[in-house]
Amino acid sequence: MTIKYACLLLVLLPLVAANGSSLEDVLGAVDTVQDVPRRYTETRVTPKLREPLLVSGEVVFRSDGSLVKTIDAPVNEVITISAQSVILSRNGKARELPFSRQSGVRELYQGIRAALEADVATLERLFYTELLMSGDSWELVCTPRSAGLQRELQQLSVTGSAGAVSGVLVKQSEDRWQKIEFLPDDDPL
Amino acid sequence: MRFPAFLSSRWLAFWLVFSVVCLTTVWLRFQTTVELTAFLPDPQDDAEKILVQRLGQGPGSQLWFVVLPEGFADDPVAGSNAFREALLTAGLFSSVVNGVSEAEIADIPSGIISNRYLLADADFSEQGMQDMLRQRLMDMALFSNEQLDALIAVDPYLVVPELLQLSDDGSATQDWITPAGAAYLLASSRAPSFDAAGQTLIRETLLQAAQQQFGVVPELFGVGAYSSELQQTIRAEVRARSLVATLAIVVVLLMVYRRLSVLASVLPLAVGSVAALTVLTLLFDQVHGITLAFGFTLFGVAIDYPLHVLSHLRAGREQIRLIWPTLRLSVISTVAAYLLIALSGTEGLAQLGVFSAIGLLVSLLVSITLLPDLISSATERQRAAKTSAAAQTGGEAPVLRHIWLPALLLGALMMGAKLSQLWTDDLSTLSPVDQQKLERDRELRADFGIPDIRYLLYLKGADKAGVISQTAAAVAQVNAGGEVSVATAITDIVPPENIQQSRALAIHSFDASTFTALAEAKGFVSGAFAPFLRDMAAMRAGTPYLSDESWQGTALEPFVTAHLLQEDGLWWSVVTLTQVDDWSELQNSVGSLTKRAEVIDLKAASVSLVSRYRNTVIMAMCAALLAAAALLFFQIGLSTRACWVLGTIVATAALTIGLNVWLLGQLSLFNLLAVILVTGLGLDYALFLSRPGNQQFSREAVMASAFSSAAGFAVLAWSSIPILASLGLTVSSGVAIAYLLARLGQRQEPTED
Repeated sequence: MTIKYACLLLVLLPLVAANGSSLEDVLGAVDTVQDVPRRYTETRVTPKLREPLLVSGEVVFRSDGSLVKTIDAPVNEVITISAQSVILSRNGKARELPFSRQSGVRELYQGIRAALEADVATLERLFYTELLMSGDSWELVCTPRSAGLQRELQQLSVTGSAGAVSGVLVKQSEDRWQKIEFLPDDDPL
Repeated sequence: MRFPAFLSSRWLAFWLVFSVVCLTTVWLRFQTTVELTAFLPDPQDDAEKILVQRLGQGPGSQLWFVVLPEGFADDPVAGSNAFREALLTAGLFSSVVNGVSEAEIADIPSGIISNRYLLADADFSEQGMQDMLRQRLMDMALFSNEQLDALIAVDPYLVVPELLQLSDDGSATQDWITPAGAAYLLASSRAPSFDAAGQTLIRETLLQAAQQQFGVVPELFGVGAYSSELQQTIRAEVRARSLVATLAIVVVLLMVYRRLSVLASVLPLAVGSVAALTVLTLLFDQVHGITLAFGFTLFGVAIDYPLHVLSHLRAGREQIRLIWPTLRLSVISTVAAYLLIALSGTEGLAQLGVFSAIGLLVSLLVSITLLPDLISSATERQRAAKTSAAAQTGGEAPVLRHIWLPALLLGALMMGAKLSQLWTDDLSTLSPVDQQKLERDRELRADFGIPDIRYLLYLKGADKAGVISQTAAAVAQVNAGGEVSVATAITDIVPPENIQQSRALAIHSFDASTFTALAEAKGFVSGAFAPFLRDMAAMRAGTPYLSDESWQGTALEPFVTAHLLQEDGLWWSVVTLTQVDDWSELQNSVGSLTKRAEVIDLKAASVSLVSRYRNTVIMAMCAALLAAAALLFFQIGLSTRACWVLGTIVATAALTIGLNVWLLGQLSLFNLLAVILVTGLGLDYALFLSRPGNQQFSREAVMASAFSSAAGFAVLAWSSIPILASLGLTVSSGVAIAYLLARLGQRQEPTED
C-alpha cells in the first residue's frame, strides 16, 4: 500500500503543483532577453536520414519580433523566422523555405518561436496547453488546435526551470522529431 | 419615291407579319459580342498592335483580389482555405492563391516538373551534387515534413519552387492573413476581363460564397471586378433613368397633344429597332454591345416621324401627303449620313450606321402607313378639320432669320478658344471607378508582385528562336540593372535553344551511381531520391526541347499566348515588369541597359488609338454632312432655304460642340456620337420649320420632339456615370440649340416642296 501511495503521489504531485501556478505565472517569469544570442544544440531525427542530425549554434530574439537561428555546425547558415515566412540564408544567398507560407508550417514555426520565447499568447492561440510542475522545473505540453498544425505536429513540449526555457521537443511523428536545448551561458558549445 | 397609299388593314397585317419574321430572325440568329477590337481602327504602330492583341488578355488583367474583412472567421487561415476550396470548386478560376493553402506536388503543372532541368540550371558535376546534397541535409536540419521530403525526393536541386515563383505570386510583401484577421486571396479568372457576362458571374459567385460561408461582403479589386461593378451600376442607373426619362417624354407629349393616342408613336420606334436588329443579324455574325447602346441613341431621330404624323394628322390626312416630301428629304439625308458613317472603316461603325439607317427608314414607313389609321377617329378628324382651317392662317414671321450665322460664329469662337484641349482621348477620365479604389488596386499589385498592366517591354523579329534568344538577353540585362525587374517573359517556360542545349548536355553527363554513393555518404537512406533518379533516366533517354507548342493544351498555354504573339509575319515577345513608378525613369534605364527591347505604355497606345478613331468619326461626320448637303441641294435646288437649313445644322453642331467644351472641359468620342444625333434632329427641325405651306403643325411636332428629347436626355445628364451624364448633357443642350436656332430663324417658303 505504501509503495502504491508513494507512486500515486509521484504521479499526482506535478498536477497538484500545476494547479497552484498558472501558465502566465510560469512563462511570465521567463526573461527573454532581446537581441542577445543564446547558444543551443539541436538533434533532429527524420526518416530520410539514417542517423540523427546534430546541429549547434546561437539563437537571437530580435526586437522586431523575428527569431534568428545561426547554425555554426555542421555548416554555416542563418534562419530567420518571422510571422510570415522562414528565410534561409546560406553562402550569402537568402531564399524562402519551400512551403513555409503554408498555414501548418507557418504555425509550426510560430509555435517553436513562441515556445523558445515563452510567448504565452501565441502558444495558447495555437495549442491546447498543459503545464506540469515539478519543484522549480516545469514542462509545458502543447497539443495543436488547428487541422493544419495537426498535420505538421503531434506535440510540442517546452521544458524549463525558474525563469528560463531549457529546451523544446518538437514531435512531428514517431520517426520525425527535433530537440532543441539551450546551453548555459558559460557552457562551451 | 411615291407616297405610300393608305391601306390600313393590309399595312397592319404587313407590319405584323414583318415584325414576327424579324423577331424570329433575331431570336434564331442574334449573337452579341463585347470584343472591343471590332470597334477599333486598324492598329498602326507596334504599341497599338500589342494593345489590340492583348486587349483584356494580359496576365494581370484576369486577376481578382479578394479581401475578406477582419473577423470574417474565428480561424482566418482555415476560413481562407475553405473559401479558396469553394472558389476552385465553382470552376470559374484557373487558380486561387491564398498564400496559406496546402500545396501538393500534384498541383504543379506537369510540364514544369518533367522539364525542370531544361527550364533551370542544375550542376550535375560531382562537386555540384555534393554541394546540393549538403544543402538538402541542412534543409532537413532546419525543417522536414512529408511534403518537403516528397519535393526533395523528386527535385533535390529545388528548381521547381524557383520556377513557380517566376510565374506565380512573385515577390509578395503583403500578409496573406493580416494580424487583425483579414485574408487576401488572388484568383485568376478563366474568362477574359472583357467578357462582361463572365466577370459578372464571377463577382456574384464571390459575393455569394463569402455571404454563405462567413456572412460578410468581401472587397473586390481587379479589372474584372470593376467591369462587372460598372456593368451593374450602369444597368441600375439606366433602368432608373430610362424610366424617369420615359416618364418625362410621355408627360411632355401628353402636355403637347393632350390625348393618349400619342403613345402609339412608340410603335414605329419598336418596329424600326426590331427591323434594324434583324438586318444586323443577317449582315454580321455578331452584334456588338456598343452598337446596341449607341445605335438606340442615334436612332433617337426617329421619334420625330410619328410626331410629325400625329401633329399634321390633326389638320386632316391630306396634310400627311403634303409633309411627305419633307419627311422623305429628312430621312434620306439622315440615312445617307448614317450609311456614310457605316462605310468609314471599322466593323463597329458599320454596325452602328446600318442599325441607325435601317431603324430610321422602317420607323418612317411605319409612321406613315400605320399611324394615321391607328390614331385618327371620326371625332378627331372633325376637330382636325376645324383646326386645319385655323391653321391656314397661322403663319408667323421669323424672329431672327439669320440667327444661325452668329450662332455659328459663337460656336467657332468657343471651340477656337479651347482648340488645344478640345478632345480627350483618355477614356479613363470617364471611368466611374472610384479613384481611391484604383489607387488601392495599384498598391495591391505592387505588394503581391503582380505584373504592371500598363508598361511592357517587347522585342520582335522574323525568327522565333532569335526573338526568344534576344528576350533572354534583354531580361538578364534589365534584371541586372536593379531599378526595374522583369515579372514574366516567354523565356520563363521556353528558354532559348542554346541554353536548353547546354542544360540537356548537363543532364546527359549526370552519373546516377555517383549520385547514389554521394547521397549515402551524406547519411541519406537508400532510395531517398528514387523519383529523381527515375526522372533523370527518362530525361537522359531523350527529352525534346521546349518550344511554345510544347505548352499547347496545358495550364500554361495562356501564359505562352500572352507573351509570344505572331503579327504581320513577325514574332513578338512581350515582357511584363514589376510595378513601375516612373515611366521616364523606366525608359531611360531600359534604354541604357538594352537596345534589344522597346518599352511601351499601353495607356498612351490606347490614347493614340482612340485619337485616330475620333478622327475617323470626325471625317465620317464631315462626309455625312456633305452628303446630306448634296442631297438637300439636289432635292430642293440651290435655294435660300437649302442654305438656311444647312447653315442652321452646321451652326447647331458647332455651338453644341463649343458649349459642351466649356461645360465639360473636354469632349470624348461619346460626345461626338451625341453631336451626330443632334445634327440629325437639327436637320429635321430645320427642314420642317422651313417647309412651304402651313407650319402650325410642324411647329407643334418639332416642339414636341425637341422638348421630349431634351427632357429625356436631361434626365441622363444628372447620372452619376460620367459617360451617361456627358452624353445626356450634350444631347439635351444640343437639342435645345437645334430647336432654338430653327425656331427663331424659322422661315416660310412661298411655294410647295
